[in-house]
Amino acid sequence: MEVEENQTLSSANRETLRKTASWINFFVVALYVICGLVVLALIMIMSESRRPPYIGETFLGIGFVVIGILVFYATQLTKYVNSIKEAVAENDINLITKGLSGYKNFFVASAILSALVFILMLIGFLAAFAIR
Amino acid sequence: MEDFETLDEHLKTGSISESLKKGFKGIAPWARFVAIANIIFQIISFLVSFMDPDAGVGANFIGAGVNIALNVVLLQLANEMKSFGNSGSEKDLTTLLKKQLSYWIFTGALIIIGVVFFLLAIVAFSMSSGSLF
Repeated sequence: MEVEENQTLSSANRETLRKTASWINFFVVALYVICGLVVLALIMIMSESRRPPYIGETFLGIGFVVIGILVFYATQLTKYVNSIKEAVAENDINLITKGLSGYKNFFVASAILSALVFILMLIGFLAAFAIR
Repeated sequence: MEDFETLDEHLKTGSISESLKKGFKGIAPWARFVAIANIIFQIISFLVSFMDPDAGVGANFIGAGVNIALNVVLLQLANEMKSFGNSGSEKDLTTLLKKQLSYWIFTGALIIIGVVFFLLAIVAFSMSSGSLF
């Protein structure tokens, strides 16, 4: 009866959460695959003997930043997915709270990235108009 | 006084906790910001593609359309998070979870399409340079 009292998940919500966890897991795997491709691209660029020296350093810097962002996204979402799985297993929706900080961090990082891209785009526009 | 606290604690079990409501409510503004910023970004990118005749207006139109649709779903998700944060009702929670699933299915589908296009691009590039097969 003790377990019965804690049941806050309907069967429909449990199924929805289970599917959501699978899709987020798929997204996390895709993020790690992209990380691998970035590393591969960096190795190819660095091993190219005909490249100008500054190209390798620039790409290396950008590559590390991209990998850092992707890994951050993946770890934060994994935290959220684990809490969803725990909530489904224990049949208690409140256990999601444990992973909500990871979910929030994911959106905060996305917001910061969006703002940066937006600012860079505006600078690009201003520069293009100034050149014209 | 102690009896009342025990009673309150007992009422909390089997229901949606305050921290869950607060957690989703705290995510809502960030998700909304991401969605609105991306929608504006896609609209501007599409308009810019008109200025450059070589940019491929058709492809940009499809790309922008799909991204805007994804971010509209994210915007709806943010609204559902806020609604659930305010009410804490089971009905709002169900709507939130369904919208969240829609968003992640949409994102996953886009990833699958992206992977297919990426592989096709590699095959096309390799065939044109004669290094494949």
